[in-house]
Amino acid sequence: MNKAQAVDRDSEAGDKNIVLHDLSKFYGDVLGVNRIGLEIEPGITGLVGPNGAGKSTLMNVIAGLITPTRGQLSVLGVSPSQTEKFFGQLGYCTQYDSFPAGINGYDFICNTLLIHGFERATAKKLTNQTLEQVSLTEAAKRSVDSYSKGMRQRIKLAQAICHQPDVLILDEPLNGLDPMARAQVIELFRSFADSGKIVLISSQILHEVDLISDRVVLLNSGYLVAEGDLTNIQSETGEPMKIFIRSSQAAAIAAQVFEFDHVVEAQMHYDGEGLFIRSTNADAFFLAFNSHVVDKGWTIESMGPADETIEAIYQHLIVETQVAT
Amino acid sequence: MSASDLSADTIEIPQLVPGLPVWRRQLMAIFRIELGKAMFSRRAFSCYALISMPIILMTAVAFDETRDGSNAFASIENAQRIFGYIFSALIIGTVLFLGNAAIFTALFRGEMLDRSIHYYLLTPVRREVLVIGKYIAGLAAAIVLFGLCTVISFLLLYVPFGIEQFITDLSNGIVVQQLGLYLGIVVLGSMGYGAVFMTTGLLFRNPLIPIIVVAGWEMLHFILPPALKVFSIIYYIKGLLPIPMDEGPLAVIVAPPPLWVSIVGMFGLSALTVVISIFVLKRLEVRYTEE
Repeated sequence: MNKAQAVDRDSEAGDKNIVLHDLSKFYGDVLGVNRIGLEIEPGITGLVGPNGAGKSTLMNVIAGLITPTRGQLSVLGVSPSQTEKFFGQLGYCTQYDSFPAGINGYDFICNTLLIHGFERATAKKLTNQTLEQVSLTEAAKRSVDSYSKGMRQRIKLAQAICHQPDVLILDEPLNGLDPMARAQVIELFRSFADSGKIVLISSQILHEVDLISDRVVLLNSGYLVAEGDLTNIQSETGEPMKIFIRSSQAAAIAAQVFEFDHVVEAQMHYDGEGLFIRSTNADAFFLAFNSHVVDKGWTIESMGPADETIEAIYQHLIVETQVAT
Repeated sequence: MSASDLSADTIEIPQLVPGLPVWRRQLMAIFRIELGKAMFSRRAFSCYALISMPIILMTAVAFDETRDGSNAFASIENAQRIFGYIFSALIIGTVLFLGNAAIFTALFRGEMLDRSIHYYLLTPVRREVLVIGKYIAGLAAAIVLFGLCTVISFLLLYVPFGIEQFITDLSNGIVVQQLGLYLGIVVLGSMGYGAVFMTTGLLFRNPLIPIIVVAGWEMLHFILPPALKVFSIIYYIKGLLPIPMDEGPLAVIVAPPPLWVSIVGMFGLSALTVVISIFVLKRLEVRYTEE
């Protein structure tokens, strides 16, 4: 592939993704985020990190609300300086729990659509549809000031999705939602992602990010710690991966797994029909173990990573690092 | 709501192609929203309080009677002169100045303080359209509120003299000429003060500081040398007063500018400040923690 083709390929990918190139944001001397290089593809991407990690700064930069001090940003190939195109394709549910004074839910959404430039009839249809999507039809004519925390969260979400953006950025979108509403909203995010759109979600609730994200981006102290799908991040951390093997011959397997150099730990499941092992090279283990299974004639019911969760990665990459320092 | 209702897109939405039709719709939407905020929201209370002051004062004088039973105005000429003083001191100096400060400062700074400006900034509206829409809405609200205040106050001066006197002055063109000039001052003053306060609202975190500075400058304009008077808004609008006011023994007297200079001056100031506001808004970052 020549250089021109490579540039074309990169450009084509950039037209479908959010691309951050060596992006930094400083507030005076205070670091927001530093030297972030990232490409966010369609699907759900979870943005994870402790308080002060730079999640909201990064989201505000991607949403065009703040300007990076250094580096470049493009969303679906468009830079924030192209106001009309950029904001037309982007929806952002911010963490700010504030609204124009005295406004009701219906007017809040309808006004947003009118400012987008939609004709009144279209704006009304979209408003009704969006309010239904977030279950606020009955409360639509009430002042937003009288809404509960969960309703305010949902009306902000409605404002972000009402114009059917291709990129949806959500800062702590599940805060204040009851379990039923959470499930509905997560289903909505999934339907967005399944239709080829980019959904970027930040959350402190790790197991929820784990549940809904196709990929994760881990930030700590303004730096990108890891990004990608969970398996890749797990293997890149260098930590032994925990693998669970379900088999009626678990004891026999346990006796032989240490023949593999990269297996560092084996532990029987409490029911005796399962085995946890830790391997420093999961890919090599799966390859070697498969041929062993065939040679020995073992019956394996299931086998897979046991700790491939954001919480495990978060624990290793962020919490343990913080404790160490 | 059932799960089946949930889908990313149900209604096919039309593609918005940037251009005049979209900008016009955006401008109208911003105008309508901002006009509503300026005239009917909580932030409008201060303006209603301000415009009630000259109306109450004129009502009190119009219905006041001296010991011999005659009206405090004594004559229609005297009534017009008294209204001229009230207009100059109270309507221009207080209502127009503070009212415009309240309306136009709130256009941007008010939304930053109540943390809602990002809703505008997240829409695909050109910053030029946003600034112009807000400015025109603020101007319309100011003209309606302060114009109404001027008209009611002016009409109250005819209460002691009856409808016959009003019809006589109307047919003589006195009412149209005087009221027209007073309303012209309201329009030009709102344009000038409005433009200044919209821009200072974007530039200064504490909106009180520019209001106090501009107020001080405008109050002192009568003792300023002629070369500096041209930098005060009141210089351009006071020349339009139908009944010239005595500014006291310390005043540096200069000839008022011609009407066309006043009009062009206020349009020029508005255009300049709108351009500055657009420039500032394009570089605005939403960082509410600093507000």
